[in-house]
Amino acid sequence: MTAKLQRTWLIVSFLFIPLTLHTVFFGYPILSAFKVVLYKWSGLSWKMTYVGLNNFRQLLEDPVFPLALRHNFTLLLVAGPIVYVLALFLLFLLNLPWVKGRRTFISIFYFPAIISEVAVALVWVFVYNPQFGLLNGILQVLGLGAYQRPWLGDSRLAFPAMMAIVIWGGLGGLILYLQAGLQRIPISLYEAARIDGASHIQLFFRITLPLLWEIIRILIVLSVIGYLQAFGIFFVAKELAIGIDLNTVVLGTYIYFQAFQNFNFGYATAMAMVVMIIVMAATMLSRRLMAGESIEL
Amino acid sequence: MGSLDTRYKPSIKTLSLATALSASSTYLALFIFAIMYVFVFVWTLYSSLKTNPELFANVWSLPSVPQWKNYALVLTTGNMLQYFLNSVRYTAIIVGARLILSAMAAYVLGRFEFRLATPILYYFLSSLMVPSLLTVVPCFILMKNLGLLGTQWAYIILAITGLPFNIFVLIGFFKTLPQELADAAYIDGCGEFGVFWRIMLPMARPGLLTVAVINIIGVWNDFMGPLIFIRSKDHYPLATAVYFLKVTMQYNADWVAMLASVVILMAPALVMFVIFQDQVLKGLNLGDALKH
Repeated sequence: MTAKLQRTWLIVSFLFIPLTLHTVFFGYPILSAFKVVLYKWSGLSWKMTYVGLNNFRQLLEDPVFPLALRHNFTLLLVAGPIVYVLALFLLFLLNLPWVKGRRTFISIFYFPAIISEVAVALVWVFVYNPQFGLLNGILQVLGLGAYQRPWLGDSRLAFPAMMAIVIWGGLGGLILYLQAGLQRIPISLYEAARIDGASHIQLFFRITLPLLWEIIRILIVLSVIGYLQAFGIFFVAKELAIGIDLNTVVLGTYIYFQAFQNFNFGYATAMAMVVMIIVMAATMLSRRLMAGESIEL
Repeated sequence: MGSLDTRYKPSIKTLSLATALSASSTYLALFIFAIMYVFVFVWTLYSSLKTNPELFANVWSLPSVPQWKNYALVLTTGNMLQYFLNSVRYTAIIVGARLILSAMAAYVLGRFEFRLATPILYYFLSSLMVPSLLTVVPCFILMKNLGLLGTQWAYIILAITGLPFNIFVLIGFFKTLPQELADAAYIDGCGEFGVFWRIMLPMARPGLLTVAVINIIGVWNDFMGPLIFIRSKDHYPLATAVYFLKVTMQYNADWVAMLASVVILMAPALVMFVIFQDQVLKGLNLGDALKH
């Protein structure tokens, strides 16, 4: 066997299984989604009827879909900015010259990203518990007992309480990536500015922030995608096995509910397609909005 | 994460009283944030050692006598030991298969030049952009047609197909390996497979370790895949079983059992992270760097 032939043989045989798996369980499902969306299933009987674009028409009449959509956009436009402001604030503090143990702090903030979403959600279910929860306990100690609430059980507070979990859980990852970017900024820039008498706050706003802009842009695009597909924490904290909670429903949990509780496969896929389109539109929009000039190092 | 050196060292004369004051307020702010993370876990941990009446009586109090039997009970009668072992089995099979397959694909795509290399890479990476909400229903129907739906194999096979992230990271590692050793081996009459197996794979060990740790944590934590594709309770992994415990908690309010189960669920992932912190952070940064 010639060397060339042997190499071709290696390439073909090494790619064969990964490509086959990827095609059967990713490529084919994407294509078949366009067929699934045209049918209606009756329960789990696996009997399907062709309904054309009816699944999309149903979207316009469904009162839950706009509610879920609104919740996702609230996450995006309220929780999103809060996480970024907090992450940048902590990044500033962590990189002040007198701070030691920066790595330990970052690891601690990153803990929620390491454990299962089931654990994150349940730990917070404990914190919010009206009977023995930590939050009500803290309010009691602070003399704010009058503000004790059933949090997740309160129709007005349930969604903000969920957002708090999302903010708490997302902070560490953001700080981690921002720190990695900051590490690439040459120290000489800071030294020069220090000699010119710049304060630490000036250093942060004039050097760190502008030079991190490129990374922040990428992170924002990833966050937009993440917030539009938020799922696990909402699913666990709000017991989806029992039914949909209109106070905290998001697109991800509603699609799961339609697909695997109601076995409305066609309708669920129609919604997933709309989510995909919104994700693509939001990605392009946030790229355009933040296009501004970038500083090359 | 590279070296976490201080960005700029203050000279002696700047260490005035003002600096000392701002240093303490900096630490105060950082500790307040850190406590919001650490205490939640510490509280969960010690609450899991209380009795149910103790838990309801006082949020803050430490257990009067640590109830280790909470753990014994959830592990035996609560079946958490069986679910734990299921998780270990799934993690070993899925991560093992993913490592082998993604190393083969990444080696070929990262080190050989051929016309289809770039399109194939983009084909793999495209799945990182598509919401899994879109593919989950077609996969469910596909598994039904393959006669696998409801069995653990439906979940295992689907989980193994999560190769793109690994391929993406490993290509970066394979690209940095020196060609000289491979060339020397070719001259010594080593075949293509021998070069991969005996030269390249051992050299890529740091990359494989990074990917393995990230995969182990990811598979260990997954509850959604098993929930959808496995329909027999005996085959659930720990994360899914703990989720179901929460669902049944409505009817059977044994909260300390749930707290203990949550601790059993998160402990292995946290221990993995603490031991292999460097590998995880390096891998995440590399992924970030390659995005550019």
